[in-house]
Amino acid sequence: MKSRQIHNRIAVLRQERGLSRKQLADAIGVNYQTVGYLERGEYNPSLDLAFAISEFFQLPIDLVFSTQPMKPLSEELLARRKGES
Amino acid sequence: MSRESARARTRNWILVNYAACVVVVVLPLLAKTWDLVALWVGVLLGVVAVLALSYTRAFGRTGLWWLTHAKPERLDERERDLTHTALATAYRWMAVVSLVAMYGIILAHDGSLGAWLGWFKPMAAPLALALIYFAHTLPAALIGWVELPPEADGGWQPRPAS
Repeated sequence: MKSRQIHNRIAVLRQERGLSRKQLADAIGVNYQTVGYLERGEYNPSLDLAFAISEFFQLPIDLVFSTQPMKPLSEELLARRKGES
Repeated sequence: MSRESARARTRNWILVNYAACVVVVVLPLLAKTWDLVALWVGVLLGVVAVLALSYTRAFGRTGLWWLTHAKPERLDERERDLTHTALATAYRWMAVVSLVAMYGIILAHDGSLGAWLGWFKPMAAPLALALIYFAHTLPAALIGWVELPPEADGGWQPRPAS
């Protein structure tokens, strides 16, 4: 079965926190080049790695990864806040 | 340079490297046919130099040799996926090619068939060496041929050992 592309916000989240690819890679236990492949959507992480990345950013996994192209993070957070209120 | 250009450059060096291997295999047959020993020794030295240079450019500087020879614990999940696929494909091909080559060598030395396959004999030893070389480099060549490198200006880099 051909796997579908998993979209992610890793690049945005990494840059928001002022981290280099190497710093993020060291934190999640992969080669910094793998972070590049993840950010470009050229590699789908395993479930374990996806959870490790989400836990590192302290965000729910569905805010970091999606099977659909992702909206800007600010839109997503606003929608969630409206849903909560 | 873009990643596509970097991959094209690696592909060219792989082609040069394997073409040089083919020349090394065929050279003894040509040397036997046209008996000019000094010329063929000179050609052989030149081809071996091309082989060494293209090996460095195709597999050394790109980090492909490291990638396919690293211990699994040094690789992350993506690198393990990549190398395992390349190794499986490479050794599937090598099994068939090696068996066909072995059969050809046996037939060339066979008493009754040696008469019309005997021309193959001078190539038997270099062919066996070439197969050892292909077995060593084919996984790296497959990755270098198919995959875009991680960065345009760099190759596959190892993580520091923890």
